[in-house]
Amino acid sequence: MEFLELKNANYGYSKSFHLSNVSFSVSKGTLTGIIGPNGSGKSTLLKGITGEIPVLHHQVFLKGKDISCFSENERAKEIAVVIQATEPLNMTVEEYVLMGRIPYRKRYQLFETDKDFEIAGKYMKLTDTYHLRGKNFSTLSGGEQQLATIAKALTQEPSLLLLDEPTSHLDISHQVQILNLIRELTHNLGLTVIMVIHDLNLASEYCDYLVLMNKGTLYKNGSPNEVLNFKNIEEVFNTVVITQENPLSKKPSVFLVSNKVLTDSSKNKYK
Amino acid sequence: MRHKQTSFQQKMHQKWLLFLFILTVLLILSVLLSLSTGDVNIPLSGIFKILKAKNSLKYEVLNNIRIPRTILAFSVGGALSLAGTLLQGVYRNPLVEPYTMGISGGASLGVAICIVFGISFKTSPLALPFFGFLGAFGSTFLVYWLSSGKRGLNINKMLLIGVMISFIASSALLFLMSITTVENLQSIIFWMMGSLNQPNKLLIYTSLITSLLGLMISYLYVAPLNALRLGEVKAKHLGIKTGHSIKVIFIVASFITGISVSAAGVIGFVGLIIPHLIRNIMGSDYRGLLLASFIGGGIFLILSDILARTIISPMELPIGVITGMLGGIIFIGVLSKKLKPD
Repeated sequence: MEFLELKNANYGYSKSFHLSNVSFSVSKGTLTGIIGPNGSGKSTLLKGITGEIPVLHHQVFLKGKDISCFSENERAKEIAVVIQATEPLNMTVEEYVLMGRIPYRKRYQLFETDKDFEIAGKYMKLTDTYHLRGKNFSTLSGGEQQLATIAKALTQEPSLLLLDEPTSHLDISHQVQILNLIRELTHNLGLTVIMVIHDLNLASEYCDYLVLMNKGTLYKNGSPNEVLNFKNIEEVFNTVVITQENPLSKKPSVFLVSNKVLTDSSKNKYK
Repeated sequence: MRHKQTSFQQKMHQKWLLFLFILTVLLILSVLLSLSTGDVNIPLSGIFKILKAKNSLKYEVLNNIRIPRTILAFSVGGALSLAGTLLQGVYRNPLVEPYTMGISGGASLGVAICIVFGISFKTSPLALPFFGFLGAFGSTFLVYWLSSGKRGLNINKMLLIGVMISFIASSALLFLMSITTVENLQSIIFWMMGSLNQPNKLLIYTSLITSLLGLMISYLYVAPLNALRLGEVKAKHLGIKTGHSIKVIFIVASFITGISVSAAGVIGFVGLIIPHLIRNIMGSDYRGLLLASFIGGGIFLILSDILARTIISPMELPIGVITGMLGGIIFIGVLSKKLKPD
């Protein structure tokens, strides 16, 4: 039994944008990247798993159970989601991270238990945000906010973590910090992670497995070496690229080719 | 354990308890002040003695006038402030209050219709409150119905429709006022300015019970309210049934507002200012905020009522005038000191 399985998934916002027949599976403790051009259905794919978009029966299975049969609360204990923080929040980082315990709170229970504090503290330490816990969330930098958001998601103690572009708007050191953390989570804690990511090189470097989306359907999936060749990328992104193996990691790297270089090189050819 | 000593959250819980304690003391003081001030002066120390003896003019004043009036002030103030807090939580907009959501507009229109057309049952003491409540609930239902679509409630749409319903109701009200007699006009205006001079004890106790009930139900929705601070989508990710929660919270807010309006007329600003002030002191966690806003609103209206009764005694100022002026001034004062998001 695969950890997460999509079988001919067909869902979307409306008739105008719909996923069609997406099938793939993800094993436990792996890091999967969903890549593809804007509007190819990456986020839609994610939203069907998070429950934001209703999914009909027999399309998405988590640990063998049909995801459309999960209650909201059951789902929140299994799946945590990290999406871009958009609005200012007037609360401390600790208060924010503790919100991850809401799915576990009983109806009449007003206050956090000792266990809640323990778990939140553990994941703040893991994400290196423990020293920020008394600070107001709004005053944090973008990278710190993202780390705190991951701490909140981990405090939910999920088995599956979904991230929507966790590294956009971040500088390269924070990108690497966050992706290192995510990889650590999968390899050391056995968490299964799926993330939508735009940067093909980061995707190649960090993900165990890639899903390349195009026009609402799955174009190609497999290891980075199988998915990221210039043919696939040129076909899907409609852009000329060169791919080469990173000498250290043996993973493919993608170089874009600008218009100017392209015309110059073709001129040289005819000289 | 170490994390216990260093937890900011637990320090905040202690701060809430302290603040709630202070508010309770203030509430008791303002209740006593309200009972002792008026045309017949009753010394603070004598209140309990008079209530025990049960056979003096002062007892009659306390029992029949001041106690019911103070109870009404407390429950209406608490209800309006609680409703404001709830609506601000649902809409994530600090400017929302029961009266910007079309609830008071509907209530005023209901009352005006009763005064202008309901000649036969106008004489019953419960006719106006009943029509006020009907109007409040009618407009609420309309807002709710118009803003729910195939994909559930649309919060932004709901806010805009609420404001529009409010405008339409006040235009219709102006129309009624322009075609009716001077006598009717006067009773409409009197009702619109709000008054805690409610002779019907049934209404007073209904108002107390419903607002306390509203407070209790709100506490069952404290986790959804807190999760909604992150936005609807993120609240869903935390396992909150957002559509259901928003519906219940909205109905509770309208119900307690409708009852308040029918018992005391239109009293504006309480639902806007008190939640704001309390948020500034306590933060936006609804576990502390709901109870504190309720008590704070009660205190505010009791004190405003004391002012309304004493400033131009023996005449009485409309309570809406006091809350508007006092509230507005306090609000500007606080706002110019510091501005906080959320």
